[in-house]
Amino acid sequence: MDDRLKESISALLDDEADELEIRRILNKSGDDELRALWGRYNKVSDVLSSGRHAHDQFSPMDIDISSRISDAISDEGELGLIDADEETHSSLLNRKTSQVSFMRWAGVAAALVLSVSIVFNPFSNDAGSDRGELLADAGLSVLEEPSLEPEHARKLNEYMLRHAGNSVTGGRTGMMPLVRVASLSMNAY
Amino acid sequence: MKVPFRQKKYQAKLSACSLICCSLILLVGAFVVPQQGFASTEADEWLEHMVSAMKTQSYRGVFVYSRGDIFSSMNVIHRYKDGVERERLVQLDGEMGEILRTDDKVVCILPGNREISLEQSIPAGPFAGAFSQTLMPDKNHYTVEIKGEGRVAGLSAVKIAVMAKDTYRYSYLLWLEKTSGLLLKSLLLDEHGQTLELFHYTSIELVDNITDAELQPNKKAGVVFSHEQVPAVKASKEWPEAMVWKIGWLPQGFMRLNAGDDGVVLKPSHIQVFSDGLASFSVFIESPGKGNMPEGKLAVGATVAYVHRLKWKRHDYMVTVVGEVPFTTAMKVAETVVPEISPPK
Repeated sequence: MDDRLKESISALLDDEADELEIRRILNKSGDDELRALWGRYNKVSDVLSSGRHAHDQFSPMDIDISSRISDAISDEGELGLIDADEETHSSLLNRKTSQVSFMRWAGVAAALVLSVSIVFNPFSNDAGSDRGELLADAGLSVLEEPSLEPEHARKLNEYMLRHAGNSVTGGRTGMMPLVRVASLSMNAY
Repeated sequence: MKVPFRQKKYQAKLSACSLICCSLILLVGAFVVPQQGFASTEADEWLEHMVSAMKTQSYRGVFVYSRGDIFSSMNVIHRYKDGVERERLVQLDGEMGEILRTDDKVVCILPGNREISLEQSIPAGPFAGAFSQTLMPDKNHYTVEIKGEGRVAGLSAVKIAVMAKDTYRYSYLLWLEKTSGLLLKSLLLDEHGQTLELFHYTSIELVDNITDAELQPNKKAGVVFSHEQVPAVKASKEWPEAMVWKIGWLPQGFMRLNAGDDGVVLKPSHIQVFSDGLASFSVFIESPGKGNMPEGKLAVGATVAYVHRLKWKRHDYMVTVVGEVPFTTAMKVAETVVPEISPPK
C-alpha cells in the first residue's frame, strides 16, 4: 500500500478527502492491510480529539471499554467502507465523507452501550484476578505490583538507567530519556 | 485559522495565495516530492524546529509526566548560552532528586545521597552518521502530518502526528509551540491508541535570563554523597571467549548505533543499541547470575523490558531487551539473538 493511499486515508479521517481519493480507498477496501491501517489511524485520531489520558487506564472497566471501543471503531470503519461500496457512483459526490463519519460515531455510541452492559456483568466477582489479566493484556506496568522482588526491581532499574544513557546523546532526543529515569528512580528506592 | 495541510491534486483553481506559498517553499529549497502535498515538508520543518529548539531555546517551566498511572511533576530549567547547553530537572514530588546535564555529561542526584554520573554513549559504527545531526522519524516507517492547532500551557501550538506504519513501533502526538517549535506536550501511543506516556507542560516561560545559580543542584551542605559512574557503551575485550553476538531479527528501519561490552555495571555483559531515528532499544546479553529477572515481559510506562533465557551449547545466557517499543518487538529481538563464536585474536 503506497504512501499516497495512506495520506488519502488520513485526509478522509479529517473530512478533507476529495472524490478521487475516496474512490481510490473504496476500490481497495477489501484489502486487509488497508482495514488494519484504517483502524489504527482512527484510534490515533480519537485520542487526538478526546484528550484521553493515561490515568484513565487503570480502572478495569475503563480498560475494557477502551479496548472494546477500539475494536468497535475498526469494525465500524470496515462497515462504513462496505456500505459505501454498494452505492452508485453518483452518490459518491457529496455525501460520502459525512456518511462515513456519521457511521463511525454511530458505531462508537453503539459500542459504548454494548460494552457497558458487558462490563457490568461478569467482572463484579473476580475483580482482583481480572485486573491482573487486564493489566498484563494492556502491557501495562507490572512493576507497580508488589510481587516484583527488590533485587529484580534493582536489576530492572539498572537496565533502564543504562538504556537511558544509551539514548541520550548530545541532547538530540530532548530530555525524555532523562525524565523517564527520574520518574523511575522516584519510586524504586 | 486552520492550517491547510493537504494540497488537493485535482483541484482546478489554486488561489493566488497558495501559488505564492508553493513558489516560496520551492525557492527556500524545500525538498519537494511529486505526489506528496507540501504538508509533509511543512511537517518535517516543524520537526526540525522542534529538535533545534530542544537544544537552543532557553526556558524554565513545570511539566507533568506520566508513565502508566504514575504521575510526577518536575521543574526544568534549560539554557543555551555561548554554545553550551545546560539543563536541570528537579523532581517536585516525593523525595528530592535532580538530573543535571551539561552538553553530553549527565549527573543524577538521587535520594539517599547518591550521585550517579552517566557517561554518554556516542554513536559509533557505519550508521552513526545518519543520527548525528537530528533525530528524525524515517518516512518509510512513520507518517508525519500536521493535524491542526491547539493551546498548551497558555501558548499556541501546532499539533503534529507521527504515526507508525507498522506494529513494531509506537506512534506519537506532539504539540509544538508556534514560534519556537519547542515541544510543549507529547503523547506516546500504542497500536490501540492507548496513551503509554504523557508529557505536558503546565507552565513555561521562554526567556533569556537564566542565571548560573538556577542551574546549580540543591545539595545540602555538609552531606557526603556517594559517587557512581555508569560508563558508556564502548567496544572492549572484556567478554570471555571473544564471543560475537548476532541479532537475528530487527524491525525494519532500526539500525545499530553502538555495541560494546560492559565490565562494570552489569558484569560481564554485552550491549547493543538500536534506533530507527525516533525510538530506541538496548539489548543486554549476560551470563545468568543472582538477581537476574524472571523471563517474560515487564513494562514501565512506554518502556518495555523483555527477558529471555538463551540456552546455547552448554551455556545459558540472559538476553534482555529494554526500550520504547511494543513488547512484541522486544520479544522477537530477544528470542533471535544468537552467538557467533569467533576464535580469540
